[in-house]
Amino acid sequence: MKRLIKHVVVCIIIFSAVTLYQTGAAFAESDHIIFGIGAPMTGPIAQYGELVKQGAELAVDEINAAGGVLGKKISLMYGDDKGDPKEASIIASKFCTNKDMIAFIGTFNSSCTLAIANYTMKYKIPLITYSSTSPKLTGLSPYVFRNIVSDKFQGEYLAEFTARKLGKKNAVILHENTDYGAPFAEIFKAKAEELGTKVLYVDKFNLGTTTDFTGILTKVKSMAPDCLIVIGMYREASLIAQQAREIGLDSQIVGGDGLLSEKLAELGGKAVEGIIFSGPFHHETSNPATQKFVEKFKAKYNIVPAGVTAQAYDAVKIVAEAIVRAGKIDREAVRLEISKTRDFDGATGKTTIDDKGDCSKDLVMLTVKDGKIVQFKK
Amino acid sequence: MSFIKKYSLVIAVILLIMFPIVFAYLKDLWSNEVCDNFYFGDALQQMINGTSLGFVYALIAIGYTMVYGIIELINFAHGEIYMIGAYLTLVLIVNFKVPAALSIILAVMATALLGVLIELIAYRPLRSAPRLNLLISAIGVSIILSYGSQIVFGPNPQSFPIQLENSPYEILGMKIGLIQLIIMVTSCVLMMLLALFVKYTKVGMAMRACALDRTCSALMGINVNFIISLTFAIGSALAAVGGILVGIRYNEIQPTMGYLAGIKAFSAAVLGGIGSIPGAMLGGVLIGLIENLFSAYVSSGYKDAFAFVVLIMVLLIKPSGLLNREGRVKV
Repeated sequence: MKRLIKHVVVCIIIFSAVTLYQTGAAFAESDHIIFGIGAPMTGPIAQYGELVKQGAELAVDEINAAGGVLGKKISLMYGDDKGDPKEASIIASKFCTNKDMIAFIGTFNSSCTLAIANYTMKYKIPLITYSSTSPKLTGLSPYVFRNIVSDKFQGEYLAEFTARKLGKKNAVILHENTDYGAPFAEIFKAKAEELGTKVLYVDKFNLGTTTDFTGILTKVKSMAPDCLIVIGMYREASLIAQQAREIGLDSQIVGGDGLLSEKLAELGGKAVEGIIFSGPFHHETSNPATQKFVEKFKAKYNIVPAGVTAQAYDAVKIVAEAIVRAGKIDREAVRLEISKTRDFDGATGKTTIDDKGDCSKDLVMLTVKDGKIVQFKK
Repeated sequence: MSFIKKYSLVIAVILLIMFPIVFAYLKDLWSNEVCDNFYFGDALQQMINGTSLGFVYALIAIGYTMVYGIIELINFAHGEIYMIGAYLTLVLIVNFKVPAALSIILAVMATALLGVLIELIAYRPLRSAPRLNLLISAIGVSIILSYGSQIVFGPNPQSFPIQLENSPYEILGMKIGLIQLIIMVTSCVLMMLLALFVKYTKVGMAMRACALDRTCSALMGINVNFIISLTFAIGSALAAVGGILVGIRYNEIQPTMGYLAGIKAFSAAVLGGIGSIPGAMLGGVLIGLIENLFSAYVSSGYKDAFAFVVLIMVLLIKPSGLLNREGRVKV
C-alpha cells in the first residue's frame, strides 16, 4: 500500500511538471511562428510526404533568409497522417492546442484534410491545403482554403477536354476508392454525358495496395472504349497502363493531376507514352515565377520539382504573405487576408482564392514523350 | 466415391470458381443480349491472370505453412521478408552493379539468411514462452522490417531493374505473357522440388517428424534447432523468389508491398489448411483466382475483401482448412 502511494505521488509530480512546462512555454513570448504541415510521411503513400517537405522547406528557407515575417522566423512542425484520417485527427488535436501555430498547411489526402478541418474550424485556425481537391471542402468553413483547383473544376475541365479536344465518343472510368477519386469520377461522368461522351463502365480500386489490374482491364478490353479515364495516383496509373498494353487494350489513357510525377515514366516505361493528364504545374511552363522556383529548387535538391512540391511551396508563401498583409500575428487576421488572396504569382501560376475557399487557376495538359513529361500539344 | 466425399469442399470451391466460365460458355452458345461484354475467351483469360497471381501467393503461403507446421507460429514478418527479397535484388543490381542472374541468387540466399536470423533473435528465445508472446514478437519484427525499409530504401515505389519484354503467347485465343509463364513455371518447379525434398530426403523426413512432435524428434536424435532454422531458410527463400517475380511482373516494388501480400498468403495458407504444404499451394491459387474473377465481374475495389469473405466461409464449414486432416484445428 505504501509503495502504491509512493508510485502515485511520483506519477502526479511528473505529470504536473510536464503540464506546467507546456503551459509555461505557451505563455512565453516566442521569437518564431509555427506552420503546421500535414503530410503522409510514412505509410503506403509516404512518397508524397517527402515531396511536400521539400517544397515547404524551400519556401521557409527563402522567407527566413529574407528576415522572416514581421521580424519572426517561421518554423515548420510536421504531422505525419500516414494517409489515414484517423491519424490525421490525432495530429490535428495535437497541433490545434499549440498557441504558436498560426496556420495549418495540408494535408495531402482529401479524407485526411476533412478530418483535420473539423479541428481547425473549432479552434479557428486557418487551414490551407496544397493537394486536397475534394468538392466536399468547397464552402465547408470560412477557415478552410486551398491553392489547388477542386475536383469539380478539374473533372469538368477534363471531361470537356476529352470530349471537345480529343473528340472521344465513349469512355471507361477507373478511379481510386477515396474522397479524391469517387467524386471526381462522378463529376467527370456527369459532364462527359452532358457533352455526349458515353460512359460505358465505372469501377474503383484501392489506393496504394492494388497491384494487379488485369482482371478489370480484361473486362474493359471487351468493351473497346475510345479512352480509359484513370483517376488516381501515378503508381496505379503506371500499373494500369502497363497491364492494359500487355493484354492488348490500346485505348487512349487520360488522367487527373494525381498522375503528375516524374516517377510515372520511370515506373511505366514505354506503356505510359502518350498518356494525357491534367496538372497544376509543369516545370517547363514559361511563367517567370515558375522558372524562378524551378531554378532554386534544382539548386537545392538537384532534381526537378513535382507538382505537389510546387503546390506546397505556394501554400506556405500564400500564408506568409497573408501574415505580412495582416500586419499582426493573429489567426483571425491571417484568415481574413488568406481569403483575400488575388492573383498570387507563385510557382503554379496565378492563384486566386474565392469566397468559398476554392481557387481558380489555369490547368496545364501534359503528356509523356520519350520518358519525359511534357506539355500536351494537339 | 470416397474421394468425392473426402475432397467435397475443395470440389465445391473449384466449382464456384468455374461458374463464370461455364456461364460465359453457355452465354456464348445462346448469345442472348442479357449481359454483353462477357465472353468465354475473356473468362478463360481471367483464369490465367488469376492463376499466375495465385502462384505468387502460393510461394509466400508455403513459408507461413511450414513455419506453422513446425513451431505453431504465424510468422507475421513473412510478408516483409517477401518485400526484402525484392529490394535486395534491386539494391544489388542498382547500387552494386551485380549481374541480374547472380544478384537474384545472392538476394534469395541473403533473404534465407535473414529468415534464419529473425528466428534466432526474435523467436528462439521465446520458444518456451506462451504462444501469444511469440505472435507479438512476430508482429513487432514485421513492423520493424516494413518501416525500417522505408528508412533504408525510401518510401517511394521504385521500378524494378530487371525488365523482360512481356511478349504474349497466344494459346486458344488467350494471351499468356512471357512473365506470367515464367511465374507459373518457376513456382511449379520450386513447389515440386520442395514436395520431393520433404517427402524423400532424410532432412525432409526430419522436418515432418518435427512437425508431428518436436520433443519426440529431439529424443530420436534430430537436431530440432537446425530443422527449424532450415524451415525458416526455405520459407524465406521462396518468399524472396515470389517478391522478385512480382517485381519483374509489375515493374514496381514498394516497402509496404509485403503487408497485403502477406495477409493474402496467410489466408491462402489457412484456406488450404495451415501446416499442409499442398494446402498452401491450392489455397494460393484459389485466392488469386477468386480475387481476379471478383474484380472482373463484380468490383475491383472490393476484391481484397472478397478473398477474405471466401476464407471465412470455408473456415466456418471446415475450420481446419481445405486439405488439412481433421483434428488439427489450431487457427
